[in-house]
Amino acid sequence: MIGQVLRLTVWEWHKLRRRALPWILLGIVVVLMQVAVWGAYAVYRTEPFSPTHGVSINDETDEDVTVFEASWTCKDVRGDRIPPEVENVADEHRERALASVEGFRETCEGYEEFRAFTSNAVLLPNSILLGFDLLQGTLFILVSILAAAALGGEYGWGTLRTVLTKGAGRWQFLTAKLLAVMFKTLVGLAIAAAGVALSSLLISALGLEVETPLGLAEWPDVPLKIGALLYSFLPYVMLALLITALAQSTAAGITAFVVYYLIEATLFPPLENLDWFKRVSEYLLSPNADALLASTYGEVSVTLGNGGGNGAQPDVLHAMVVLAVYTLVFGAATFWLFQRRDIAGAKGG
Amino acid sequence: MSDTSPVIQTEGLTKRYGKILAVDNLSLTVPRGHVFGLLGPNGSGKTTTMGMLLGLVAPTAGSFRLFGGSGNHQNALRRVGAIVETPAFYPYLSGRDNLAYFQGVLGRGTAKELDDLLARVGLAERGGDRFHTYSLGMKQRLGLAYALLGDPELLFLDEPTNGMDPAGMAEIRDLIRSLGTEDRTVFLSSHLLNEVEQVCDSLVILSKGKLIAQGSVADLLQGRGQTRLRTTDNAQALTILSALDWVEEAKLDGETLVVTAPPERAPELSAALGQAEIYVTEMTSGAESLESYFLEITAAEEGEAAT
Repeated sequence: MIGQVLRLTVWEWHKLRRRALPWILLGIVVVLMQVAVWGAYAVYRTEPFSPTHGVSINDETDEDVTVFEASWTCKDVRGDRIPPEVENVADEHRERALASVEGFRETCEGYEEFRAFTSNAVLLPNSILLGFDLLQGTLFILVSILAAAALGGEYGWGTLRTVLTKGAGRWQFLTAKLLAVMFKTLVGLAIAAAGVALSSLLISALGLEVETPLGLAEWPDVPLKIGALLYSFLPYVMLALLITALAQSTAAGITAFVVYYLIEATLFPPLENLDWFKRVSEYLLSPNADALLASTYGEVSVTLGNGGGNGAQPDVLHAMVVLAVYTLVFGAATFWLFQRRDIAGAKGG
Repeated sequence: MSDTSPVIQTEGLTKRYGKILAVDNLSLTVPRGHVFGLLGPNGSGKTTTMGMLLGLVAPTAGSFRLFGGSGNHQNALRRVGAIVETPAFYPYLSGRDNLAYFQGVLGRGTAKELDDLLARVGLAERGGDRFHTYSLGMKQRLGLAYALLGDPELLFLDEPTNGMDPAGMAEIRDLIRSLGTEDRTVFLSSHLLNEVEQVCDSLVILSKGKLIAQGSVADLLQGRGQTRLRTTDNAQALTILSALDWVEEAKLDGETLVVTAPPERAPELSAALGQAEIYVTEMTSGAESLESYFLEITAAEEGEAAT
């Protein structure tokens, strides 16, 4: 029985490999991960988010007359640079301007922490983890699209009938499909991570001055992160499969999933201001997935995704149990439905 | 010694979709080594019956056995090949890769088997092309190759010549005929009655989900024939012939009398009319075709169902 499931899984993998959709989804993930790492590098280099401090010095005898105007960025403060407008003014005016910048230094201290984190973000292994963190919501949607398409295609083309009449066995076929989707996801994450690693090495070669080693993650965090992602994907994948099996359609499966996901992302966070809803949200999918996927970069902890509302973050064990329960419930419903349903011809979509 | 047990046995097999009774208490036995026809008008339950036997559709009541066993149906399916309605394959794979995939699902077979099958169904040169580029006739051919994967003992073929040109149909008919020999059984559903008549040894006819006739083609048509007459007085001839107890039916079709009666008793028709001084000016007689038998029997069944 296990041998048959494994054989079917190998052939499901073979089929997935030949379809265009998984490659398109992989391309999206790889590109977005690259955008994340190169975007972080660009932010670090060009400092577009640096606060600025504007100074306007007026004539002491006539307040309406402006002697000069100048502005400092945190980069100027860091390098003790004085804007050219201030170079040739009277000492008295220059000192007034420099005195006003002292207060700005405190603002820059916060920014410097952000900048240090940005510089660390493009270093390995932070770049991989941060890429996954930034793409977390997108990954959930893409993996669910892959799962819905893997099963929905069989309904659309009418091939379910062709497979089952060769003695594939219903639960064995569905299990093989699930395993192939999860394995494809694992390979996709590994490829995306490898791409980011290459970019990080390239960026390091370009010369990256890391002033503060703020929050460097450990290498074992990378496989742990991928494992946590796969674990968190499971209930969503089962939900997508359930809806696809119910509607016998890829489009319905994806649409229903995305609607649910958007409801979690948009409607639930505001409700977390209500005490009773805080308790409810501890048992919803997103907050638990987010809790499991929270990254630690040294002393810096990052939680992204839908669950970043006002509710308290569930602990990891709680999150794992809740996600397992959702997986089992959605999985049991999917297998039950798939096992019992009459199989009709091609649905065409 | 070869196995002589029936390959398909159903008892009271029933499928109901809400208020619609698709298959009604169907009991049939399909012997080994035959080409067995399943006939019926659209909606008579042919595909639903095949679906139940293939495990795609759950029966509402009744039971069935493949190969005489009541064991694991999934294992039994590994000895079966089937095309149900239009063959469905993965559009992004070539015909050959599709077959390789299903060979993988089956867990047995060789690359040579794939080449042989593609050649056998006339797809040797197009096997490498993607399935979505195939014509309906080519899809049917690939469906046949798929059904023959693993050298199955029982073949379910649902409209296997659908979409083929006349030459292709004749070719596939010959192939089906050659398959239904020795230990292999072909369970063929078709709406092409001459096709069934040419390739099937025996058949069942379904109407509104019910079995209304079963037997060999020869047995079903035995003693049934039609004689067409022109006489000097058709009206009186109709009265006389209708009164004969061995005449099943007599009716007027324009200027011609159509009499359903055993073809070997055609001379007695002439004699009976001669005694009444009615003379036959033209007479043709022959065995009834499966088509007219089918139309008659299904129309009668539908008429009964309507009353």
